[in-house]
Amino acid sequence: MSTTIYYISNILIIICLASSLLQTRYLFNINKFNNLSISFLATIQLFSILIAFGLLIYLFLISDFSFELVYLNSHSEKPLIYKLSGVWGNHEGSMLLWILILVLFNFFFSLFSFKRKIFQNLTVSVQSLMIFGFTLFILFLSNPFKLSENNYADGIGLNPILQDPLLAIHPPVLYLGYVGFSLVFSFAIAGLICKEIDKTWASIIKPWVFIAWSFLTAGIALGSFWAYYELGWGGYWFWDPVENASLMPWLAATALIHCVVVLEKKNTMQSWTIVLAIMTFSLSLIGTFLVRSGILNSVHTFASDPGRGLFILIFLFIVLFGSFFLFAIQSEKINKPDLSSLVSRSTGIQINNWLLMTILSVVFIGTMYPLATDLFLNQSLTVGPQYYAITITPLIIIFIFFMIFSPRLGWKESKLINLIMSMRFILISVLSLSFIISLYFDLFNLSEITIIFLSLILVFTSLKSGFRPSGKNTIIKSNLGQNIAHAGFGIFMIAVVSNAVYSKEKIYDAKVGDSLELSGYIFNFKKIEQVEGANFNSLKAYIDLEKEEKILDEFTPEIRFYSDPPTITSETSIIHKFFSDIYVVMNVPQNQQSVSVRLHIKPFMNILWFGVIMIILGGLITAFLKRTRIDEV
Amino acid sequence: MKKICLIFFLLISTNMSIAEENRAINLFKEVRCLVCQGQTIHESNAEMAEDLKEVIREKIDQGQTDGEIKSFLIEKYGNWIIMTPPFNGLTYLLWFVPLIILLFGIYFILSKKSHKV
Repeated sequence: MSTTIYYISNILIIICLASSLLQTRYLFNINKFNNLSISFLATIQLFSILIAFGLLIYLFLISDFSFELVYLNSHSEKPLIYKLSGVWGNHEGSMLLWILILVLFNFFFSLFSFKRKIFQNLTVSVQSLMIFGFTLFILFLSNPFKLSENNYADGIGLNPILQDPLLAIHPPVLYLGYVGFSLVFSFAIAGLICKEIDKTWASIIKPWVFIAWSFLTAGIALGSFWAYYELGWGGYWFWDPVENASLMPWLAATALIHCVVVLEKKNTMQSWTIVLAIMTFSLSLIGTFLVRSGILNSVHTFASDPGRGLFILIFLFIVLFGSFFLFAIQSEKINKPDLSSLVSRSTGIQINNWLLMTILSVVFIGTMYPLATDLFLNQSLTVGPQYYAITITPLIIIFIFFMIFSPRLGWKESKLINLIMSMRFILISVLSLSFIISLYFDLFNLSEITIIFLSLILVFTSLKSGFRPSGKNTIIKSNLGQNIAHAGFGIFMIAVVSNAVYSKEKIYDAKVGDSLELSGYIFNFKKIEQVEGANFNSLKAYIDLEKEEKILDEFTPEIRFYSDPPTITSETSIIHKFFSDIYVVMNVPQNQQSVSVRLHIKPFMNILWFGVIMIILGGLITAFLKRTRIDEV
Repeated sequence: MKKICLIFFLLISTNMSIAEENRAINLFKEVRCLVCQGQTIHESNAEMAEDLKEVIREKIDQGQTDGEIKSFLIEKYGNWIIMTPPFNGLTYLLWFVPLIILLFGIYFILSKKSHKV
């Protein structure tokens, strides 16, 4: 049985490899196979990988340990959902997932009928070239269907820190984002080859860019939320290299979606758009490279293999070199002049795009610098959160400033004074509101006040222009998505700053019966007991939350002891109140007498996630609301 | 009178220790736990982190400044142990490259726009 599956799955991968190679024919002008339609081959690509992926899921579900991957990453006693998520909780499986999403995007894109057929053919060809590369990679360097040489009675199991419902969906969502930009990249290459990067080009790619961007945002947010409650360090973003690796493509992608909008409206900024499309996808590849190569010192690097890193590096080199070479010889022919004046919306977008690039360079340098000094100067260095706070804060202030004003400027030319007059009511009310807020909450740090002040203006102006109907027949304005996302970003920034300022924490060495205190709350340590879980034993503490003599709720933080593989994890217990999270985490006991308990009060966490959800929603609305009718192209 | 003095003294000394404890916590957040993965000693309760916390508390008691304590740690364990990179020959690029990129972009956008007018 196992050997049958082994052969079937490898044959399926080879079928995908072959059909992808055939799909690349338009790149080389081979007219031999013109009777094979691209959608037919795309269907074969999709189904071969889909069935292979289904087989891999099946192997994990039935715990077939004759396959090495299942043996290394699963265990017969693991709950069903983690058997499933074990499929992509490892290198080989996640690469197969990566390919599945590549062929999925390729398939959907090949379904549409275009009048400019050559665009579609070339895009699918470039996309298939990538599918070919990655399929080759999994076939020879990272085959998920490798039979193990020994007979194992049971598997090693999935790293318990990854056994979490959120982390089961985090990789697929993130990959939908990363890989979504492969399609944008392919489309950019097709546009470069045809020398036709114009309004039509932008209107075709726009929904795809926004979908990919929304998934990337959601994927990062899920990871961040997971880190918040699973790692138990009280934070939601640690400027960890792997987090940075996903933030970099996001920053480039955010600049890209704005370029695509300008291109669609004004037929300018062609070079920007192309460079950003190439950059976003390359950074997605670098993200994969950084995570998968094991050169990072990080909690996330659960797969380490330099050989595979080398492959991604060569692949990346080909992508970068090839696309920039093409760009260099074609860029003169694609660029259209920018006719707008200095005070205009497109200037605002250009400035903010540059700010995004600057933030990206901060993240890039901050991540790479310690690696570089270590490698070339033999000096190790830590670039911690404070570096990012110092460098990014001033950039964010200017960024929000332009986010407020540029959407309210005309595309061609505007008078600043008119703009300020039209916003006078909001400006005055927000100014007084932030004055009251800063007095009431003792907020005297200039940059904090400025960010909160500007973010409030951003929220109000965005909401105002997003929901006020303009014409008689328009109920929903076409920029609804934009305004929701911008308002969401304002809300997010307010939450980030207030959270940083007002977070409180205290560490106690506590015994049963102790009453601990943090900002007016009393934590009564009632008892601690041993509990048996699905595939772990745990030490569970019961702590009552009390305020003003009333018991409000109960915390149940845990220390879990997993045996397959042997790992100890600390499970946080969080009570989400409207304005703040109260967060309790136990450390692994060092002695019999007491246990170290850490209490956190994290204000505005709900509001922070709400802001993120608004950002994602805004992206999805823009993707689906005003779709350009592709059949007219 | 003696009593009041004593209470006053106690108040001051407790206040001092709160300030010192805050200083200690701020320092803990700046010092990397060498055996953990990317955590500060503040976040960790590994043995090594606890030892370092004790060392830092002692140094504060001895009246050393934050700068002195950090230099001591850097000398003993290397630059790596301090979370925020220092500002010196090794890190000029780290701090200045973003600024140069920002200025270059502003110059680039403005010059492109003003040519047309």
